[in-house]
Amino acid sequence: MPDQILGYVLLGAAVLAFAAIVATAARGREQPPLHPPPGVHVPSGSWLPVIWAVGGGLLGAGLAFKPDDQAAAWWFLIPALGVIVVGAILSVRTAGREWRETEHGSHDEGSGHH
Amino acid sequence: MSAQAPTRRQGGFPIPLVGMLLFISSEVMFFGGLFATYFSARASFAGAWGPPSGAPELEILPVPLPITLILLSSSLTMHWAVRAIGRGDSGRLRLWLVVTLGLGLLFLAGQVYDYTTLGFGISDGVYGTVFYTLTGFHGAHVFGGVVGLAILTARAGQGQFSARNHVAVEAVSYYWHFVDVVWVALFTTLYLLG
Repeated sequence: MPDQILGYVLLGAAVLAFAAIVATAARGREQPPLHPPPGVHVPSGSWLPVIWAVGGGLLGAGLAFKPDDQAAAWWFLIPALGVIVVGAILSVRTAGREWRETEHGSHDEGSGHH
Repeated sequence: MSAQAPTRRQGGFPIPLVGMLLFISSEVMFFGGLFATYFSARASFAGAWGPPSGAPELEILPVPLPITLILLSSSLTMHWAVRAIGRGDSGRLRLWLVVTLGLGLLFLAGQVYDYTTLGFGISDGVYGTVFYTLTGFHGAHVFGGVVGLAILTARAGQGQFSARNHVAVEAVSYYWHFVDVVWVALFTTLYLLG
């Protein structure tokens, strides 16, 4: 087995062992409440990081896997830019919704600082 | 710390800014690795270090120096944007954000144009690989900053920032200043030190 593969296997085993220790330590502990108490604003879960990752990944693929005679692979770049534009629009809409909740909502009237 | 922890302590450092500083710290490590690669390749390279034979030497004119000044100027306008919203001046915030966004786009356009005049590609030897890797990753970060600035500009247009409520503007400004500093280091390394 090449040294590099052995190294990756050992690294993976160490990561899994660490995850198992953390999961074991967290078991049985009191879980945090699903909703924050009044006065605390916690952003909700979001698909935006996934959308950004897909857009960035397509962009990188468009620059890396290109024909020799072209500056970029347009069949990657055009969808990438589309995903990034969608991500930007959704980010603005999400930020706007959270801003309205923070400024005018019921669960955070004092610490709104976006 | 549980979910009950406040997102921001009164008078304390906003947690989103802490997050941005941690992210920038990881980026420092990332670019540190790239610079280490450059200097390692340069130190162990047999022969004259520089663009491959047949390609012209790197010059700071007509493109690299002007786009450096453009990026430095954009840091200044970003700083003015933060100061403007700190005073509650939303109009000036929008103005300086649009100017910063335009300067960022100008930098990217200049870098793309510069690539077309270099006369060597990423596959042309060790120098070509490390040159395009360093400047390309920096350009990707500038692109990310431009997207962030575009989002900020749209949000500013909707009046979502105030003197009390503008931590997103500060966070993006931190990032923008960081990519500016990285470019100064890149420009010095690649174009001045050679």
